[in-house]
Amino acid sequence: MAEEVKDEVARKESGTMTAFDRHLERCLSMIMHHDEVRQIADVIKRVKSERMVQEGG
Amino acid sequence: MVESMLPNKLSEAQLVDLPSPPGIIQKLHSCMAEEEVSSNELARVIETDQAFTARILKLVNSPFYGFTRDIASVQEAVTMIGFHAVHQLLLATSLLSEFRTKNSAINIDDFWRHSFGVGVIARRILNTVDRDTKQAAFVSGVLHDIGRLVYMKIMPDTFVTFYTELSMVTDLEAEVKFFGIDHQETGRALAQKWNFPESVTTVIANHHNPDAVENHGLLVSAVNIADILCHALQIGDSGNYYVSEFNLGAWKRIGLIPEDLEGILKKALDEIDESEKVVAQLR
Ligand SMILES: [Fe+2]
Ligand SMILES: [Fe+2]
Repeated sequence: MAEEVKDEVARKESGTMTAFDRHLERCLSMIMHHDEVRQIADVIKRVKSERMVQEGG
Repeated sequence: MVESMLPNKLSEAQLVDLPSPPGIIQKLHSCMAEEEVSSNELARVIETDQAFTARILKLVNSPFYGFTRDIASVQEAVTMIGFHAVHQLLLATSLLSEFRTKNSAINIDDFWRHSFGVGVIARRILNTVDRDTKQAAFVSGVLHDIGRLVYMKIMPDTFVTFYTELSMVTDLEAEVKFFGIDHQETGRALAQKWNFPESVTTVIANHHNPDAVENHGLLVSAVNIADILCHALQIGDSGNYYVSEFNLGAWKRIGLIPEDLEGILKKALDEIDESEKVVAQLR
């Protein structure tokens, strides 16, 4: 198993995935393995979390 | 089990009974069909309707357009944002007021926030193209899911059952199973009845299948990607759990790189926040 995939599995198993992570994964799940889509997902996560900080939520 | 709850499917006759566009829109369309009609003449047609004139002026004077001086007449609005923009805004605002009906199955404010978000992001995605295409991206983004509201209008009870009892399976196939036709097709029927520009109709009818179109591929792809981004960012709610599969073909067609996406999304989110007021005016 690739290092990255192991990390992901470990993260999921330890329950550190947020509800938003799960939501995003569902949105993009079909092709999450695709490099560019991973980058897109990272951008979305970053924008979303900055937003949540701004809104104090 | 689903089968036993099946309502009457939407019939051709019901689609023919869709609400008609208001008189002013019909007047405008017959005027546009004439050869050699000038923007000024069209502006005068709009000015015969006070409510429409007020709406257009509110919109062009809102922070959404960001003009520094007051725009006082429809003619001026036409000069500033173009006749196509004024026409499409009229179509969109008329539909918004036509479909204000409350329905317990979906939160209509969240629905319009989703729709508006898709319009704003689609327009930002196509930032480098010509003004008319950008405008079409905005309007078709705002109206892409209008077919869902057609269900609500024609079959309100079934609509409630569909969204509340079966909320986890509201994908296109489930729509066909339940209503006999998916929301892209009900949307197309409405857009045709209202004489929408062909580009906008094409987007409404194909936003979940951007690879299927021969024309307006760029526009359809922009709205498709904007839709997914809106769902991913949880901007509003289209009343649907189902999200289109991310389409790499559409992504390639719009020619964005992930590095540019961050700026686009941040600006779009700011614009969406600022524009909540505009949305309120649209209704
Ligand atoms: Fe849709
Ligand atoms: Fe949508």
